[in-house]
Amino acid sequence: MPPGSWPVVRGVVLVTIGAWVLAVLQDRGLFLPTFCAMTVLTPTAALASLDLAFALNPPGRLAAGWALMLAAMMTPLLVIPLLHVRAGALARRRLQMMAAFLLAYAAVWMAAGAVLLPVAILLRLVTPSPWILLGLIIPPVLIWQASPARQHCLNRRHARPPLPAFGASALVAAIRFGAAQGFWCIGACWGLMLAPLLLPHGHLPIMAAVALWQFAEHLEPPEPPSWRWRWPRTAARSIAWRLRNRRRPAMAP
Amino acid sequence: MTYTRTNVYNLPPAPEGEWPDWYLWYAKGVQALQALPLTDKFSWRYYAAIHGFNAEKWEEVDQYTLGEYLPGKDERDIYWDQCQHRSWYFLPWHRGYLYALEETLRDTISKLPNGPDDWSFCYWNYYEKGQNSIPAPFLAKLMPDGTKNPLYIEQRRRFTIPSSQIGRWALKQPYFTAWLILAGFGGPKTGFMWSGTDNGALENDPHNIVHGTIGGLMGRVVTAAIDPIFWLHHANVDRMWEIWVRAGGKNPTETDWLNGPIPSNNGRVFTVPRVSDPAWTFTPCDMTSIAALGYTYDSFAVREDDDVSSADVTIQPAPDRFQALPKPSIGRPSGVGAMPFATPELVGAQDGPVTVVGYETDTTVEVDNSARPKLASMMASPGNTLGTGNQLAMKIENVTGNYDAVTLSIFIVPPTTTDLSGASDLLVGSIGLFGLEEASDPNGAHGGAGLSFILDLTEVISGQGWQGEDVTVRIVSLDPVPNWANITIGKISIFLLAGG
Repeated sequence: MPPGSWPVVRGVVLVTIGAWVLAVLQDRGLFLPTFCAMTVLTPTAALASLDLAFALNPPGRLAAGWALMLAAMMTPLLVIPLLHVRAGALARRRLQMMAAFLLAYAAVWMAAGAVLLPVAILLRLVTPSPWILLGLIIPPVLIWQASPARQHCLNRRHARPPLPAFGASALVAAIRFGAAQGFWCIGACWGLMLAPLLLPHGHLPIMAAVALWQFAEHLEPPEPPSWRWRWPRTAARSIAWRLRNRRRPAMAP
Repeated sequence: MTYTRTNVYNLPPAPEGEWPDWYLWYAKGVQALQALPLTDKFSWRYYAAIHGFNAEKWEEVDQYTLGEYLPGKDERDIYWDQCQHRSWYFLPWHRGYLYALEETLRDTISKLPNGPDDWSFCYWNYYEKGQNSIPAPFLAKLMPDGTKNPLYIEQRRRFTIPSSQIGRWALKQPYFTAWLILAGFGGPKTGFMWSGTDNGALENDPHNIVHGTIGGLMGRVVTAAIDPIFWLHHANVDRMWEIWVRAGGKNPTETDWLNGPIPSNNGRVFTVPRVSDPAWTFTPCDMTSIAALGYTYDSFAVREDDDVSSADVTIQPAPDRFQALPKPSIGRPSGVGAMPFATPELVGAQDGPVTVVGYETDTTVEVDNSARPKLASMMASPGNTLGTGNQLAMKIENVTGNYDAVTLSIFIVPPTTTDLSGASDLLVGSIGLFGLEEASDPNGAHGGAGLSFILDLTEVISGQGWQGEDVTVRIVSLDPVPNWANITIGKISIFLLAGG
């Protein structure tokens, strides 16, 4: 862990825990549309239901739920990029630069929410059963998950661009870095992020499972893009290796 | 039996027109291994591919023919592309790698008619006066008997390592693992790392610099080990590790290093074929004692005219300037009794990337106004130094491009000078860009973040009348850097570690 890491790690852990506590405490409707029981079979009825759905889930509420979901699931992925920003900033501008990075990252994800949430709502309304919807959505998501394009997104998340230290260019660089991280993160994560939005039950456990998967995945080293199913094994291997080493101390050098 | 690795320049002399026996046996051994197919685990090219393989680049240098049989993918995933760079495993991995090939060569040579059974590598000590050129037998196209010389590589660009290019500052590194603004003798803590970002001190200088200066096959990670001089260079790097340890340097004692590598790439471990065990795996712990491995060197002096214990050569396990720093409470690297614990502070940086072209590139590192008073006050210490406990370092980051065989010497122009000829410039250190192509790959380990180096500025800036003004940095290359190399330095920063 680079020097000066502890305040960043502490901040990330606190925000993540706080978001999860809120998520557990809040009414499920804060996260997700409350129209999951509806059955809509015709376009006309779908449009009527759409009105109802948005009446029950005003955009502000949806946005707040989406933001909370992002805070809970995405914050742990930001430790290393935040440390990069911190290390490259003048001491008096560290907070400013990190805030600019975070705002840009969040803004890109919120913009993605403005697309993903209405799509999720529409899909739920026009599909007779959430299970049919899942059956329809899973194949393209699995194809994307195994695609070289997604590996490219995963790889680009490892980028650590040089950040100027002075003037407006420093802020612009932090914003660009945050936006780029957000963009590649969306490319890597959108498929799995649909799961808690589309499944009728068990949103919190699904969110937790997806968050864990994504966290493990971000620890994977980059690989040449290719068609391949990827299991995030590095974290598991690393934990198992450390446990093994704990039982079997190293030989004295 | 203990095998002794000898200085290649100190071999018993041979009659006029002949080579010392050692060269003849090395050439014959290499020739025998070169004759084996690439799929043979004991072939010369298989060992080279363990360091790194790239079909296209091997084809360019006539070391691979398109369509030639390769080992299966599963086997390649275990053995090939394994060398550890920009990692704290750099030294132990290369020690194991040399050890395995040395055993294979010894076995091969001993089976040749009249072949000795005690053959071992020599080392090339480019620090020694008059010994900084590649030994003559490596430069001859033909062997004394008129046959093709397998030690000759046509693509080498330079045959001499200018003494101004390589320094011995790595041996002054107090700690093995990179920490704060210290590059560390052995490199940064990583998992299995074929191509990392941050260079350890010894890996940069002399290791990278020698690779880049010779150039050709040696200049690229994926072809370097094909060149027979590679092994003599790495024997010297290995010897320098032993010199550092004998001078009081402490290897890491944490299990992450000793039992490494930390699995970070499909659970890969260090696996190199040995005659006695074609699937030999080893850990850094196995590599900590050359006595236990059964070999030694004929000298442990960096240069024969140096006293190893003299202050300019030997490390200072607990340098005075660290004594005043508060001790760490967390995250202390292993192998270290007392560590400074403070946060380095960025006090200056150049604005925007610097494109390096030609012989010389100048840039200015702007010092932050708010840091100037603090720096000026520190520099008011006796002798115009930073004062006890304070450290200043230059970090050169995000070096990207597509040509590895480049060495850049980093100078600063003395703040009070009016001499613009460069004669009075102060050398901060040299950086070798070995591994640049891999580190610049957007699908590489750090998303194309490039290479990164840390150079000590504390002593360079002392006594120069610097009061925290902007610093002019002069980047000088021995050979002109071509435009097509696209070499860019993303950021040059100055960090202060205040220990007072």
